[in-house]
Amino acid sequence: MSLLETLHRKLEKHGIIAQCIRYLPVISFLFAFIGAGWIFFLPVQGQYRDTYISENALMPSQAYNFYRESEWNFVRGYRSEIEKLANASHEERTEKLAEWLSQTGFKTTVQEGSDDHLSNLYGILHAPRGDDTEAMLLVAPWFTSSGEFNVGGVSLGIALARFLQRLSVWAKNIIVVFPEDQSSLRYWVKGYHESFDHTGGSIEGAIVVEFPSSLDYLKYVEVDYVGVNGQLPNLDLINSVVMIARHEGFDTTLHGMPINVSRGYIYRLKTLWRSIFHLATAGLRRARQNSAEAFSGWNIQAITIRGMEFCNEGSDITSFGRIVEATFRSINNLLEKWHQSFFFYLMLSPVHFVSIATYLPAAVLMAVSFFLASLSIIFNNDDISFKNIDIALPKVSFLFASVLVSESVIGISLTYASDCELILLLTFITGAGLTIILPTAKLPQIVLTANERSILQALSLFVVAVSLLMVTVVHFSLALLSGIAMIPLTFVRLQKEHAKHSPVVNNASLIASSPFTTMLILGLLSDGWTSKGLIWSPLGVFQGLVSSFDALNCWTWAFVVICWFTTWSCTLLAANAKVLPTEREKTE
Amino acid sequence: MKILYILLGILCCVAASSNTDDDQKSTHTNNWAVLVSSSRFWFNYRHMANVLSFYRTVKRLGIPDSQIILMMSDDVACNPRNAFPGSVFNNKDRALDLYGDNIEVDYRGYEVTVENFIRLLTDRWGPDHPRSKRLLTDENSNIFIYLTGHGGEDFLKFQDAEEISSYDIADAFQQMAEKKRYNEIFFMIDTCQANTMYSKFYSPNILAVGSSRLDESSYSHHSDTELGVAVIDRFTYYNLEFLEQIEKDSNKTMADLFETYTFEDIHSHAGIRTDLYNRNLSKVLLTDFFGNVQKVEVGNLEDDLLYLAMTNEDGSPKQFSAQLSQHRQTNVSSDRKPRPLNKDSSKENYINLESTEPPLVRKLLIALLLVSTLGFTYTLK
Amino acid sequence: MSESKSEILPPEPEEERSLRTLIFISVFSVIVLLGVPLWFLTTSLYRAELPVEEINNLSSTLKSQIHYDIPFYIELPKPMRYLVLETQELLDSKLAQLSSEHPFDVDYHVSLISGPKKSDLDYQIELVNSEDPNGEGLFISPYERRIVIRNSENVVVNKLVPDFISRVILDEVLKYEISVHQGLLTTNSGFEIPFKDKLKLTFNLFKGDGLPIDWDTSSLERYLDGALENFRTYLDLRVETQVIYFASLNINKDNLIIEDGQYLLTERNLSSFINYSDWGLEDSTTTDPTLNFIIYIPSEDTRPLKVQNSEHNSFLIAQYGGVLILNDIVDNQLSETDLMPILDIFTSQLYKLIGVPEHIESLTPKSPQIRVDIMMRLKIIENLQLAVDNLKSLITLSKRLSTINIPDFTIEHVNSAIENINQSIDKLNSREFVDSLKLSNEAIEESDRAFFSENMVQQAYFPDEHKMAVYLPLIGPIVMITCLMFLRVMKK
Repeated sequence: MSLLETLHRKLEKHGIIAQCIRYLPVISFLFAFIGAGWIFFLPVQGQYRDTYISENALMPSQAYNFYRESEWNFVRGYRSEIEKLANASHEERTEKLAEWLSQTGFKTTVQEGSDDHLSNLYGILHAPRGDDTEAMLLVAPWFTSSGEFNVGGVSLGIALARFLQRLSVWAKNIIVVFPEDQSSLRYWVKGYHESFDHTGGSIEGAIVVEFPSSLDYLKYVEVDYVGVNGQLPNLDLINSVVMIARHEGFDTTLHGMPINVSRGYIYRLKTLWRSIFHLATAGLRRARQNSAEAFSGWNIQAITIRGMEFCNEGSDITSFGRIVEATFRSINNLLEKWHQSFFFYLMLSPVHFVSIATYLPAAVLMAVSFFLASLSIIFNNDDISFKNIDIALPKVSFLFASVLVSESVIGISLTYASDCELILLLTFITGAGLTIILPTAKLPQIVLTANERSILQALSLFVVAVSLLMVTVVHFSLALLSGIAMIPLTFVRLQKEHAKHSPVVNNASLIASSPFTTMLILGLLSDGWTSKGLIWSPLGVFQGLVSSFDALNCWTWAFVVICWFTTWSCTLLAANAKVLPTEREKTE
Repeated sequence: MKILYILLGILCCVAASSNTDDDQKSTHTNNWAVLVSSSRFWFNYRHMANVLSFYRTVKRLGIPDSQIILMMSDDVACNPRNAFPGSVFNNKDRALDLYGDNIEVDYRGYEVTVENFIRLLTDRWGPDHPRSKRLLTDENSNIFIYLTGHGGEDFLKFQDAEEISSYDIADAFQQMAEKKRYNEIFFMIDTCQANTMYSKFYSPNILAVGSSRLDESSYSHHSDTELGVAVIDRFTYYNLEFLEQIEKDSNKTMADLFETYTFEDIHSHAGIRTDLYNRNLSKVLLTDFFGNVQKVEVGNLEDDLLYLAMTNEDGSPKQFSAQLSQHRQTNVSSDRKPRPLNKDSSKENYINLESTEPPLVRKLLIALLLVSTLGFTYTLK
Repeated sequence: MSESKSEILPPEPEEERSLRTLIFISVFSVIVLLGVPLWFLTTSLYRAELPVEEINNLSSTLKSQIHYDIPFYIELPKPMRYLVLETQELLDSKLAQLSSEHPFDVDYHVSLISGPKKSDLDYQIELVNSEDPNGEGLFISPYERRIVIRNSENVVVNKLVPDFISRVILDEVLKYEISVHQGLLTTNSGFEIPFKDKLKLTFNLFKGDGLPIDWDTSSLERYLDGALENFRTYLDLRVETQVIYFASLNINKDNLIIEDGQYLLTERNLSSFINYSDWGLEDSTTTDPTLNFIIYIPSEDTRPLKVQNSEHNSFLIAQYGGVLILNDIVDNQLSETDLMPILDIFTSQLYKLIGVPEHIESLTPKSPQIRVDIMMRLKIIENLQLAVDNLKSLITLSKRLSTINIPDFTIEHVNSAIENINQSIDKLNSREFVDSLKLSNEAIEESDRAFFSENMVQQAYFPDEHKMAVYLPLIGPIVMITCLMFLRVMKK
């Protein structure tokens, strides 16, 4: 205790604390800077780790795989039939496939379609010696996530079903599903857990195969694993698949990274940023939905394997099929559950990862930065003293609460209108327009004292800090990226000490930190939001946000509304409200 | 002369404790084996294969099933993942089905717990515990104890849920020693850091070997790619390889076995602890623990006991109070008397004793007695 | 910092201070009255008090508490009664003499009682006179407990009758027992089974081939009745028989030595002769000791099968049983007459396996009854010693293992074991040997039950650092807070 006291005295003597307080804005920015920079530090050798199989039971590739060339003809046969169905209706295709599937010995059922969704064909193989409580899922959607006709995938799916049924090692049931696309897959998963009479027990693992080509050979495999709300499959599943793929002679990539590049720092950094970006925007890209997203929320470890660069030589489709066989054997070896660890990680390459303890500081620093900014407003402010915080607080809280409630109401009502593009378009244009107009406008209707104004601003920043901290653990990427997007909020200076501070900077900061600005940038800089073209892309982002709330139970929209819109609006109010002169000013 | 011979023989036996060569011979009369696989789950197939291999070996070398306690923590033979249902193999050639015939598993599945293992060693059970699940050893028993599973420094995991520490086993052995429940124990353990498991023993007459040192892993020997699992551990594999060569009456010794332990084979440093063990390892037969070589005696039969039991002094058959023949009426006619084996003993056969002046025959008898006494004192020296 | 703060802050009002004290007291009392007892109850071991003193006492005085004598009844005409007294004196002095050479472990006496024997279990000495001056002799009946001493003129004249009688008793009848008490011989031959008052016998007829065979089990039973008669007083016997066909030899035919057209079983073959996996000799239902007797009739291709160096083609397996190999059977049947010599061999083996001392001239008499009696008496002392040793082990164990439970159940059995030991000693001292043996056996069982008490299982070892890890977070904050609170309350 005495040591702390001496330290405290020393600090006081030299006025270090006062110095620190004065430089709080700088320190705050420094924290944000380090937080964002932290990500650049992670791909440095020594910061990341090589992947390994932590669950002993999996034993990937330890068993010999029997899905060999002899099965190739079945794939070819099915494929030639399926090629003929390319232009057939969904019902026709389903009917044909159902016939084949029931012939293989699977209990074949078609999930009835609904107004919004097409029907789904699925079959269950009850493992003869298993205890019928767990299942593994093989998904071959008719159309891949990028909308191509998954001819190879579906052929492989039905051929594999036929083959797997003949092996005698299954302790878990095997389910194969042939959904039309990702959204009907989601519909199927929901139905499986909520309404089906005939199920195969809890799904321990799911593999989605995408092979949108009639060719027999492929160059490499892309693995997709990102789920919504920051949910990731157990790292062991990715590791197993990557290991098995390599064992079968395939190179693997993640997040659309090219294959033939040297895998150095830049590669790792790129993969890392892409994985953060994909995680943060999971569920929002309506035009390129990742199949693994369909399983989020049901605690299913799901992964997509996608054949890449189809050609006429090299590894063939049966090798690709062996990845499924071997992965199923690994999952089949599991008893009870996946290993506890490794649900929170970021991938730097198929064989490198950072775990939560290493990357978490980035988002935490970001949150701390907002916290320090909030403190800075309180300390570096003559308008505020501790005594009158409690005088101002009720009014400020009320103001904040009413903004929160009204925006939440708008936000929730929008989710009901997510199908109506016109409403969304109008809302988006209004919102974006307001974003640009409002910061420069004055709002004389809102009257605040200088004290209240500062506290409102401080409160907003504080709420950002707390929300970021809360989200960090479960959805790091969202916290980090939205934190970065909101950094300009801390540049807004309203106090009279900063009278010289250009109002242009304030306005620019407010515009820059608006969610609509981010949506615009996102929409224009990356693709996959909508199939309608670049100009519609920003609207696509908005539409994705609003619609995913219901469709995928993705709460990114809720976060944006509560944390981002509200705090942004409140800061905006504080900046533009009519300010009553303080008593001191009056006396002067 | 025969009498003297027998007498001398007995005296020799009495005096045997001072004889150094006999010291090196095991004094046990029965053999027991406790074989434990402590880990669950399909991927630990090899641990089940390890114990079953030893089960087969000790059974082959003659330990009866009733004296083998087999603890199998999981049933891999009937596991749905087993591509060869009902079989367990310890080699990828799959030449020998360890689960083939006559497997008597005493403790299976969730019965394999630390508590049951300790209870087994110390024989602390409720009155209804079946005999086949008990280690009914006595001071004449040599016990071979084999453990395999996943372990660490001073512990061995049981069932993925609990662990037994080296202290627990050491104390259990002490309780056995205290109650004279063994003559000698041969403790073998194949886990990671196995040698730590016997480091805490302090009871006498225990010979212990382990597969690996502190901070060393034990490795599996090879996998069966069709089963998709490793089928046997290295240390066990090389032990079995050696034991496979020996027969029931083998003269191979512990020292011969231990000589075969090399780092190249086992990939870890096998440990041998002999400080609690008195006998010279090159005199300890492997069959002292792995087999059931019984002490036999040929000849030296006493005559007439049955006749004496069946007959009264006057030659008439005796009537018995016994229960045996109560249930069945004997249909043997009374005139078929049992024939006496030694006619002399049926009559009053007086043995003459020395009196004040012994005749010649008595002198001879005395001389014989004297010689025998001399022999007795001589052997005592 | 806190000091400067306390200066600034207004002094605490009286109410708050007393409230603080009240809170402290209530928290403290919850910890002391509820927490500590709860902790103690859930973590403490129940260790009942063992009667350590009593057991140690018993152990050190056991042998000195035993002083038994063996009565010999002698019927003499009145004028010769003086002989009893004289002989008794002589016996006492001789025993004293022997004891001074090699001290006895217990107080051991022989008493000569004038009169007829009280029961069949007593020894009767008969004196007869011989016509022949040098015709003195001795007959110890192998049929019953009767000793006939034939005095000659010579003996009577030289007044050597007491000497003669005492010699017979000490050197011919009881020599073995005395030697054991003197520590010159041990009873352990390595062949006998551990003593228990129950015994199961199995008689097995194993055929190497499948030709049916008829064996006369009724006469087998009759023979067994006779053979086992001597043990019935204290052994609870159970007999089972079985016939097994196609009982294959445990030894490969090619490994057998062939000599004179016979297949020879060497001693090495014999030690693994029993085929455990095949012969169905195992019994997993009883924990009683079992002795197995096997008649093995080899199949045609290994006939004749001979045990090397064996006159009767048989051998004995230590603590297990006896085996006899029978090569010649007539008409595929074992009749009463065939069984007689077989059972004779088995009886001999049975005696050895039970631990009856062998008949050796001038050490033990031929009489099976007397030898069984000697074994019984010696067993009593062995049993008592074993029971006491068991109790001693229990004490050592409880001292050594501090984390072992000692339930009341154990104490009950310890007490009843001690009681049985004491009663057994009393019975022994008052010549009630059968009862004493039963009690001594009961004592062993009770002491075993105490030792093997189901609830007496040691807690699993728990490293100290694990204990720290459990307790520190639990107790650390509580202790910190209460201590600080205490300081604060005390300050005021």
